[in-house]
Amino acid sequence: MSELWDSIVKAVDLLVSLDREVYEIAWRALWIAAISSSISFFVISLPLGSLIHFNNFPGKTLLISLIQTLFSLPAVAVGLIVFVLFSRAGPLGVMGLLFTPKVMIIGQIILVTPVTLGLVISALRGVDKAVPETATALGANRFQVSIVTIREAKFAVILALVMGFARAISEVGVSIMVGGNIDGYTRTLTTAISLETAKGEIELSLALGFILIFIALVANVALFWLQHKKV
Amino acid sequence: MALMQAENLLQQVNRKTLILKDVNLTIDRGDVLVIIGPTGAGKTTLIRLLDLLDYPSGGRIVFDGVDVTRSRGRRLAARRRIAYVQQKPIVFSMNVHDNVACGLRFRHQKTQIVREKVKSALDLVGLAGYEKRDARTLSGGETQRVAIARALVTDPELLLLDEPTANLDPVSTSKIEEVLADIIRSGRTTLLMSTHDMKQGQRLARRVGVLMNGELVQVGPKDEIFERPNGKVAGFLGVKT
Repeated sequence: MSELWDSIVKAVDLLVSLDREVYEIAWRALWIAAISSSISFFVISLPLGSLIHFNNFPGKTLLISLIQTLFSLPAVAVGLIVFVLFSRAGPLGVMGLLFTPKVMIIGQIILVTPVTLGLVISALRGVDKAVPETATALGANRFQVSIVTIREAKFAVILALVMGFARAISEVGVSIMVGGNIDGYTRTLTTAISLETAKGEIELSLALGFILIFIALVANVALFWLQHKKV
Repeated sequence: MALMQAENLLQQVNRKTLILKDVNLTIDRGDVLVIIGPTGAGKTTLIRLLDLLDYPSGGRIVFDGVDVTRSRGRRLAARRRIAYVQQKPIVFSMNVHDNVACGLRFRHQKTQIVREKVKSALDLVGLAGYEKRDARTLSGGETQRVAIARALVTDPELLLLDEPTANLDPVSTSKIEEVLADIIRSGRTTLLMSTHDMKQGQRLARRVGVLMNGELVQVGPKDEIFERPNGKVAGFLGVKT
């Protein structure tokens, strides 16, 4: 018990003393997850989710079910697929991206997109049908109708972004398989925790774990604040 | 030239039930046409078709000489010259000013013009000073007046109102009727309104159309409809012929 307590004290000391290694790892995990979840949300899920929601086509229900099924896509499986694609013998091997932050971002985008896309579609489905209809009656074109509807669903839509970020920053499978956990280059919070724990360096693992929990807390507080903001 | 014409308009649901049967209607500029009929007669269906929100199962809609029945581009262009106030209007999660400004922003109007027009529309419906209020906190009558301001602010050539006082208390109904009477007096737009309240129809209309069971059974000047109704209409109005 005292050993655990000592580890916690040392972990807090690492955080308070602004240990360079700890914060470097945290910063890297943060920007990689922020970029991958932002690309997934803004570039893919918002436009594609609107397209799926506002259009009727055969197989729409099946497609939405498939997207929702992929919510629980195992990170290790995504990591493996991306590894095969970007390994030297793979079809995208010539790009030389394996074991770089770029391929970690690509892997995380694949992992996170079903979550952000599925939640964007759910958010839009939750909006009263009278909203797009009223916008149409007021002279909105299809793009303007989408914007009005997204605006009405803003809290649920923001939740999609936050959940995507949470999925990206907390995953370990993709980062460790395609990033390689290279010190000072591709090491992130989750891969470092995994490695340091295996090495018996509990203090560093705990310090990184505290940061991970703190980031999750900040994301949730930000969401709560946005949800309670007035018009 | 007629502002809007509906020719042999049909609307069908489930490939079986006809909600509108061969409706022919001409609306001239400056007209004040009130469509009356019992609940379920097809009034809302007709107004939604005339606002180009739904596609008809058959027939043709012509707006200002242009066939707007199918073409998406023409429908949008025509819809931007029409305004529609629903029976149960909804407001967006914004303040009153931004709600009323929506239609102008969709038309890319300049900020200064938006501000002036919103102010003037809110004055007209008696909601001056409500600009900053959260629109979702308004009463039913106030919400209906916001919807009317939101429709009028774009200076529509045709204003469609679907039972605008159907769910309101007598005080709110009277305020809305005053606003509508002002609009009619000003002659700023052509107006088509549906109601199941015959007295309201009599008060506001110049011409009356009677829609029953999906059929437009009689259209004419209001005196003609109320004084010399045809057989079916007489039954609905409770008039002995």
